[in-house]
Amino acid sequence: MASIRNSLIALAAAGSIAGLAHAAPAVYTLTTVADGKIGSHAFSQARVTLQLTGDTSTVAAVHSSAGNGGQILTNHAGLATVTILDSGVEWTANFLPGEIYVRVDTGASVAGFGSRISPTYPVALGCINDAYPSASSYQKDCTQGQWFQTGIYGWEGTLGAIMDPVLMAGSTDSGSNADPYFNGEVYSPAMLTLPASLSKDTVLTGIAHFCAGTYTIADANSGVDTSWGDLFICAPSPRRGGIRTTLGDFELYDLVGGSTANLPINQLESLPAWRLANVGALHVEILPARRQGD
Amino acid sequence: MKKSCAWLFFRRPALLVFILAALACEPALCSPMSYEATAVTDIKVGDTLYKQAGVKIRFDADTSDIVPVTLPDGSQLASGICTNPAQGWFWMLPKGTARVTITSRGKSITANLLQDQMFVALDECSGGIGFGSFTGSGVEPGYPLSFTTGTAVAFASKGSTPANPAKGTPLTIPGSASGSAFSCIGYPDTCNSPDGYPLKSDLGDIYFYFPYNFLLGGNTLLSQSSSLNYGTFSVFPTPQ
Repeated sequence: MASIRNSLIALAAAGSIAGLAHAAPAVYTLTTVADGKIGSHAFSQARVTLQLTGDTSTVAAVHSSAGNGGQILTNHAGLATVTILDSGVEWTANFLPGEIYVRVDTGASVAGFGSRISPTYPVALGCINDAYPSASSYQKDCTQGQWFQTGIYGWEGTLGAIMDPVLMAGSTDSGSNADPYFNGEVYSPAMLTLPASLSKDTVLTGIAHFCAGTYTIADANSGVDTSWGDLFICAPSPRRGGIRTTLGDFELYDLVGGSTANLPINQLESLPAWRLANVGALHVEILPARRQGD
Repeated sequence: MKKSCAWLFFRRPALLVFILAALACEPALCSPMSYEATAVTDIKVGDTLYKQAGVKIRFDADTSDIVPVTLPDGSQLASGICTNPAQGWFWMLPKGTARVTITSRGKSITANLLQDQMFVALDECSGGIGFGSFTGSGVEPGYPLSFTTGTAVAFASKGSTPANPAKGTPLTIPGSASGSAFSCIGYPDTCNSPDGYPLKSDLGDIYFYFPYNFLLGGNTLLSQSSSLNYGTFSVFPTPQ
């Protein structure tokens, strides 16, 4: 009996040691600007911060079928909050358990927060801005990364740059052989080492999508420059419901998206509509491992 | 794409005289207003370098102190791009109190900047907004933290038309925008190291770095897309 007990203790200790070796507290913070609603309070172009405080031991990985292949990394465990800065007033709420999770698709190079409504809702960064695979077959938003269709990497935040084949080959020079739009610029050393990860420190930036359903597609007569994508806006989708928080249901939608026509003032250059859309940053910060008794 | 060059004239102090006296403004537009920027970046405070830190800059001011950037003859700085240069496109808010909050490894610190180092910067023509500074090199519209592209372009151009700039009113309207984040000494031509250009605070000298970028020759900005880092900028009434 004693030997069985000792064996169980040994197994438990081994499991605990293994867990300690791989686990560390993690804070995932995504900051962006969006339209939406929390409880009965609607907001327009407010600063939105989503945060999940958890642990790297609960990061899960499955195969990604997007892009060049990779993994879909998720972390569902932890306390998730949302803070909205609207006209100087901060609205802060906790998500009910299991309502949202943090997600990085290293195949598509898309990062953000997912929910039961969609793996790329309420926020996804780095999504393709075209109706993909085609206008007639576009049924889910953000099933691919933006870099996949444009072949432009360095203009799409760190999520685009991470997919640059030249950078991935270990070179900084994206020059002419990787992207015809560049003129000899090189990636900074810090960019070279930035991982698409939920278990290592990183900053993942990209154009933001906020869509529980699908975006509308730009009308040919809309006057917008669709060279960075023909998606237009994503209106509220009441039938899909919200994400439950302590302040009521939380929703985001995108009334800017790719709808901004070339601005009359900014005559320096003609910017594609999606270059004038909201962007965001997902900060993955791994904290020092807690010691017993801390 | 070509880079924005409108800031070029803005950062040459020899060309400029800044009218710091309050401009006449509509009473409804004169009010305590706060300006706040967020980004994840590298920042040094005193001798401590915080890598990939959450950084928030807050500047409390009054909209009555919004002033045009002017030439020595008193005329407003022209833009060679927008169609009515006589009316001016460059605005700044130099009077106010600034503080920087840094969150790193689960801890936060807040440094209060000494007065008269930083200003809120607005380029209505090019769609640029953020925080500039008076440093040893002169006036820096892209340092410590400014934004362009994204919704920052429309935000900074709010109310402007090609013939009539909004005359600084984007700094009086509450709201938020997001865009490419720059921390560049020498913007918009170059992005030189901030070492040697300290912002003085009660916690020591502060330096903002520009870690995630795409530059020519290590410091030349070729386009508005040279920054791979994104952040937010907000305007809101100062909480009483």
